[in-house]
Amino acid sequence: MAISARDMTVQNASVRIINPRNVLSIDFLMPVFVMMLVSIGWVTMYSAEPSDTYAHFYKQIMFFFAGAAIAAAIISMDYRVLVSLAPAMFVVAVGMLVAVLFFASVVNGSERWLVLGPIRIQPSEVTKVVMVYVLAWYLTKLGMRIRRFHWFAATFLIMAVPMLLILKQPNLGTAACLGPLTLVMLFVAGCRLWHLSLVILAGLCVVPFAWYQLHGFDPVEDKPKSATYYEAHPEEMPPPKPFYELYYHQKMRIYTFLNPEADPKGGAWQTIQSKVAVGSGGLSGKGYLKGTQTRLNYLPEYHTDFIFSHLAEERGFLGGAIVIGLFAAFLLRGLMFARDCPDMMGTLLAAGIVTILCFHVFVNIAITVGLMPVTGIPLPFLSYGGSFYMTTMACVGILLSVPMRRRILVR
Amino acid sequence: MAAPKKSGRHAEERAQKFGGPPQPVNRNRIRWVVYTFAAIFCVISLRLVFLHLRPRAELTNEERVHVGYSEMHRGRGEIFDRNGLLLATEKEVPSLWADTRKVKNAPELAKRLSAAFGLEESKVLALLTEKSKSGDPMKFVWIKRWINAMPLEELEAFVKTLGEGFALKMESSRYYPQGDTAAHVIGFVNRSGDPWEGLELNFDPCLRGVSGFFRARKDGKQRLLESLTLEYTAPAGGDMVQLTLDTAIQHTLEEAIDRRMEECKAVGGMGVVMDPHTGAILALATRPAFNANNYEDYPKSLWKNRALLEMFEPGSAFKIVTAAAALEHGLITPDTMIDCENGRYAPYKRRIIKDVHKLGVEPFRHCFAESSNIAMIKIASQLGEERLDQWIRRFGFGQRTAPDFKHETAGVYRPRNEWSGFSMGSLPMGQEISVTILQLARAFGVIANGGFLVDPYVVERAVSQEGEITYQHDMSHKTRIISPETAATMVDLSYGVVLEGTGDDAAIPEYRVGGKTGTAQIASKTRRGYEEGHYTTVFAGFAPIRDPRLVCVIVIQEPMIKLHFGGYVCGPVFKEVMRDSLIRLNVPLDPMEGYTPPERPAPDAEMDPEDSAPENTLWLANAYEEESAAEGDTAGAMEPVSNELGDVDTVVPPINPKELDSSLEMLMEPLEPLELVAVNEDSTSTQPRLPDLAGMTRQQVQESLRAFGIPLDPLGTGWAVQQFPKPGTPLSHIKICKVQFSTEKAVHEAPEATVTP
Repeated sequence: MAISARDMTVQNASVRIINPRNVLSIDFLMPVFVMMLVSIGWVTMYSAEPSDTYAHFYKQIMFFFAGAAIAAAIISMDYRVLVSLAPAMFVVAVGMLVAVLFFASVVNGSERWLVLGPIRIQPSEVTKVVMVYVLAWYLTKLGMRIRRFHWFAATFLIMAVPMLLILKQPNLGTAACLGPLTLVMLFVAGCRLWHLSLVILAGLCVVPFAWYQLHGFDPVEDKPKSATYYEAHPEEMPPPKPFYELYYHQKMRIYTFLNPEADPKGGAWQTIQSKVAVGSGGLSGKGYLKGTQTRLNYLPEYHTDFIFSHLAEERGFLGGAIVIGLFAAFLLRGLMFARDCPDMMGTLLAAGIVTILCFHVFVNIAITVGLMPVTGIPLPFLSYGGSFYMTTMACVGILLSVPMRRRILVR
Repeated sequence: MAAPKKSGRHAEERAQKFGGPPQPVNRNRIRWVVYTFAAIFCVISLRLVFLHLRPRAELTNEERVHVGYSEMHRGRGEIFDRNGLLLATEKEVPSLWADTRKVKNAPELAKRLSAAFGLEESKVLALLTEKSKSGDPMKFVWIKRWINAMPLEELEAFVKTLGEGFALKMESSRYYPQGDTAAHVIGFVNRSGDPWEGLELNFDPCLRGVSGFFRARKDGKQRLLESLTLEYTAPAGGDMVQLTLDTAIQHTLEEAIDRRMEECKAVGGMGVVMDPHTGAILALATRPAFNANNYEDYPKSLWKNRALLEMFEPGSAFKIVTAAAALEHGLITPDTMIDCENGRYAPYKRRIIKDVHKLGVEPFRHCFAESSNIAMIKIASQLGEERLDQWIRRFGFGQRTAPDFKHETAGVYRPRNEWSGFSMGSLPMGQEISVTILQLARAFGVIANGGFLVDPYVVERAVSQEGEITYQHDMSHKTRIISPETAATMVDLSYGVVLEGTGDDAAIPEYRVGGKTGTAQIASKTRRGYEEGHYTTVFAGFAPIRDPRLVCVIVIQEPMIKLHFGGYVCGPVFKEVMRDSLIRLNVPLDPMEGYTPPERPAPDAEMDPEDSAPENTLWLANAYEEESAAEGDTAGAMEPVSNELGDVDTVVPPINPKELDSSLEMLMEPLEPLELVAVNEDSTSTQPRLPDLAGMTRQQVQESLRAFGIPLDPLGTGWAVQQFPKPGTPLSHIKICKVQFSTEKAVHEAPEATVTP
């Protein structure tokens, strides 16, 4: 690439921490994808509005503009400066996660909020973004040493701190999000493949263990007999339980996921109703505002976690496919930024952000179509939720800021 | 320019210290990340394709998955009387059940339970210790269902004292607040909810509540959505049924019949109070009755509405038909003089018609009041068979009366081609025909309402729960069968019966009453002919004479007293019921002028002579004296067909001489208590004494006794074989003389006696 005077001025301008002029060199395609997804999100939210006042719909629009402001702020800052602040971010994030354990208001059982005056922050959402910065900072610092096993292993230690704090909340979805993020960023950072394989193998060990536990499990026959039964039959003793054996209710949860029809009114209710919503949509859907599954309150959380099934019901396969296609295009564009970024830091940032978003898109849709057990994972741009919308928009900002500064390394 | 360079260098230095050399961006790895993510997207896209484009049936067919069904319960309708008093309703009744797993000390509890509910102790114990198939104690055992005996609070307290394992469960059950009042009319619903008898059965289509249902889409909270109704059937039935019964009158009627039944030692009684103008039944009683709330405790035979099923020969009460027909045809007027043949008349070769009140040539008015059989037969013969048959049918005999009742007999009235040779001698006075109490009430209603045949009914209307009238009695069916003039004449004649004839027991001072008495023997169940000593007594009448408002028929079955006459047995019941009803209905007074009620003894005076007051005995003697005096002129001597036991109204059927022996034995029994009406044996011997009457014919006995002024109480036919008081008793002590006659004796000792063929 030839060095020109214009390049120099651009470089000079871009190294400034805050440089609004960078907005001019922004990527063109990604905002288009984002705006299409955001528009679809608004239209869907209008249809899935649970309240009569359309409060959610208007708030969702507000969230977008607030998120866009955050994205603009991130875009106007050099991502390298932000990455260099990662240790501080890490300390703040962990501090918030600890604080949330003590002074948190509980919403919906698991999502925990910190209330600072008028602002309500969900620290676990913030942590996701912060951890991308922290890993990017750590991995660029390590450089080639990532190929040493102990440095490789240390990554997991760094990750374990917020992960355990989030699990303690408990917020399984967000905690699980950090796993793939770590793996992908390590992979992109150039760790040894067998190190990575070792970790993945260890994770896969769960599968035969679960299979062994659930092999021949029958929810009726294996139901432990009640205490009154043993009272009435003193000659019988409850069978001894080995320490590695799962409890009945734990087995039952996995069993219900694998066999949702076994308990249609109980744990599998959401999955079944979501599948019915998607399945009844057909090719082109029931029509806008005509989704009976949501109108009649079958679908739980249809304006948040299950908004995709609502969309698939009203707009059918075509609507669902278009949204998935847009997400795919958007994420592919993000990975193209990672590929084209001249420095490892930008690549790591872009790959990490894409991983987070991809995780949300995949897990959310997989839940709505019954591929995964139900956990609270929202769908970017479509699901209602302020903190998550801000996080998503911040991710968009980070992604957009990566290619804007690729020219500075041109020497 | 410097600042970024510096910071950049600084960062580089730090990186050198902390980490290794910066790694190059490995684009291959990015590519692998892309592939992985692409694979993930492929998975969910494929899943979407399968769900959307090749979905399983249960996922697309929402109508089948999300359809709910709801039932709208509709209970059984209530029954009210004419004043809106509740007669039948639904009620939650407690039932006791036990969880035998928790029951401790079963034997003691069984003892207490059996004592409290009148159950067998061993059975309760067996229930409490019952084991299921697998040997576990039973979780649920009914101890006693439908407990009515105890008030709920008391029952709850009692259950609490039983300890753990016992509980009450409320079960819906039919409840009859008035107990056994009108139980037969209303009928009942059994424990499984099926109507069993009476109106509950016949009006079941109205009363039965048919629960509605609706099938609709439901929402996620399992609520049915009215806007997405797929199918809807409105609940139906459960109508409120209003009867014409007046519970107060019904109660009076039942009480009066019960009391009279006890006094007369009768086996059964029936009564009806009807409005002759509309046919509305104000009261219809059958006694003894049952309490529909615990119908199981009564024998099944009591469940039937016998007022509609039991037929009886109306006897003299039937004479109104003959009389009305003759009046209508202008054959007679009340003042037509009729030769009553002095009480003996033999229009047919083998049959002698007898009147107890011997009458000579009398005006018809008087013949009717004295219930002359001979006059009736003479009138009927003028009418002719064909017209008599027509008139009996026109009065509604042989036809069912009230479509409101499911089970009703039409009575027995044979078609004319099956009439016997004696029919023209029997039918005019109410023999060879069996009627029901409602048929009789309807016939008397014709007279009372000015000539219309009006069908009795008991259900006024049924109103659905939405307020629509679903059933309304149609009152337009009114057939004029006699002219108003004839009806008025008949009313006048009927008044004569009560005023001076056989029905004076029914006279009410405040209201003039018209009516007719009847006494009939009960047809034998085992052989041809009649049961001796078993009578059905009838009084049918209406009041007030000026403008008849009510018809009342009282029937008492098989009174076991000597005075088993319709007027005497049923008259007081009629009187009480009619008087109470008229006053209750606010009917203007129609007083009898210069009326003094006849004195009557308690009916059991004869059965328990030890307790009888002297005046009662005196009256009884006088009564027989009167009767004997009336019979004194009897012309014929020995008639095997005669039976003078009846009152003047009694229609005596011919008796087959072969049956006489057995009838004799039966007749012996009621005599015995009379022996206690003995007089002092130590009376002075100077007085004239009773001669030995043995071997005399009845005619001779009667004549000789009349000479002493002693009334005769004859039993049987033939020649005197036994007498009481015994021969030689001072005449001053004798109030009445009972004589037993027998044909056996006559054959040997009095061959010279002429036997009427």
